[in-house]
Amino acid sequence: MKTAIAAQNSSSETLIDKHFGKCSYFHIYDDESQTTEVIDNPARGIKGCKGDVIVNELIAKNVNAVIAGDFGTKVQQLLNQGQIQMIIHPDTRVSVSEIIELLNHKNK
Amino acid sequence: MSPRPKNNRTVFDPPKFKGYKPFGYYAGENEPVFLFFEEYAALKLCDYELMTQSQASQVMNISRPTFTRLYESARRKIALALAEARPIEVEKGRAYFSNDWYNCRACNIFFTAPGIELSSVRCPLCQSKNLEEITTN
Ligand SMILES: [Zn+2]
Repeated sequence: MKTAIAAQNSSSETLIDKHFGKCSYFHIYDDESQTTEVIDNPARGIKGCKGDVIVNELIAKNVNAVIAGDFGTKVQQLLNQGQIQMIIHPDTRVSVSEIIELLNHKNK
Repeated sequence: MSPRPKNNRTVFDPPKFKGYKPFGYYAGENEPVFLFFEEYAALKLCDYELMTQSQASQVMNISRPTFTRLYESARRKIALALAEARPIEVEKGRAYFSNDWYNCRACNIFFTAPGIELSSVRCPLCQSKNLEEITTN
């Protein structure tokens, strides 16, 4: 299972992003291989409706779940259609590495 | 998921709070103002996501005049709460959720669980089963 975490920068110690669509990077954690791939937000620099660009990219990478501080309404519609699990973490003082540690416990 | 009942308003994510409380002066002494989920949603779409009323009414699956009434009523309730130092409590009202949302009582996150049967839903982060189904239609 792959989880994309919206993040402020590319380091694993970075905090998660308050807003899914506007984050700079996604850290895609695969709990089977226990590896993380960091990608630029594919919609960075695009003005207007970015949701479809991001969601299509995540679907192409077989992402099953996404985590951010909040999700815009249009992006929620697209994620619903893609059957991707949304996780809202209202406390955005949590780091990507802390989230990955939690996702890892699932296997134990 | 059950079909959307007639006359209900589609709402995406639930509010991340159960209410607001004023502090200082007359805080806590007054009757709460009840704000419906769909009123909160109307206000968020227009004044936080910056949609036009026409875009927001389409997203919520309601007519433009109905949307305008919800939006006005949300603003008036919030103004009333501020002006009279009254707490705000959110209530479900006639909201229809496009998704089932859960709140984990252990770690306080909100999540959807597409394709997962209710009985086997767990918190994706802490694995707790101590969940509140916020938005079951
Ligand atoms: Zn939890």
